[in-house]
Amino acid sequence: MIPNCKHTSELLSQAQDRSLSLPEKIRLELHLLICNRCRNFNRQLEFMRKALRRYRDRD
Amino acid sequence: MSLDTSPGGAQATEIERERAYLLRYARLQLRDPALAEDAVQETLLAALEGAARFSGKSSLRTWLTGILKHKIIDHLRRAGREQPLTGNDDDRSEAEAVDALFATDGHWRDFPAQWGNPDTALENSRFWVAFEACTQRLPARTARVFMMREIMDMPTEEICKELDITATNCWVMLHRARLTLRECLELQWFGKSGS
Repeated sequence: MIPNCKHTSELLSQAQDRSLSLPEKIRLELHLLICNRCRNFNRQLEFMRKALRRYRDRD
Repeated sequence: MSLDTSPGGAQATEIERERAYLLRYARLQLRDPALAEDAVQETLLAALEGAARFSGKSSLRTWLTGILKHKIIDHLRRAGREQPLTGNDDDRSEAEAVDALFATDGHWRDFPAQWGNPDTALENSRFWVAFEACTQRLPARTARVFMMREIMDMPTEEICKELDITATNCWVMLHRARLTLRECLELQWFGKSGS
């Protein structure tokens, strides 16, 4: 079953903290294929992690 | 190689030079300038005393950060005993705030917009002001977990152990933190720049 946006956002967040199982990955990919909002969210997660590191390490 | 930590010695000066970095690190995690200052002070003192143990294999910054991390975790342990992380009203209001971001069918209510090329923001000093304000707006418990993960680079298992919470609880808080920070950045920055 394809997860909804809320569940997808949870999986995307958890993907930053643990390895997802194969079924989880498949469901995630299926959702991302049809949802550009969650694709945006995913890019934003990556950006936020990068920004936090930059903020911590900048001189 | 040991460090020359005599007053005004080359390495004493080098250690002092890392103070600004350590302070930013401690402030992000502890969210209290006075506490952060104390942790950094203790770190620099321990570093000067233990300078002989600095092998020179890692960078000075890495070594100092390692010491600071221990000081911060000690503090979090003490604070955790006095003010446990689980089961309070904040938790409920936060859960409600996250629920409000989604419709009952699980669709985004205010859906994440395109941020264009967000990396250009990283070069803009005004962005960092907004960014800092957004990190400070995170609720205390959520911020504690989020910064342990993102600033101190701790794996979730370690965070759970330190704070005595379950992995699921940890993931829920990290998810909330990211949604909240995202919302704030979009409101304060990316929504405004018209990208």
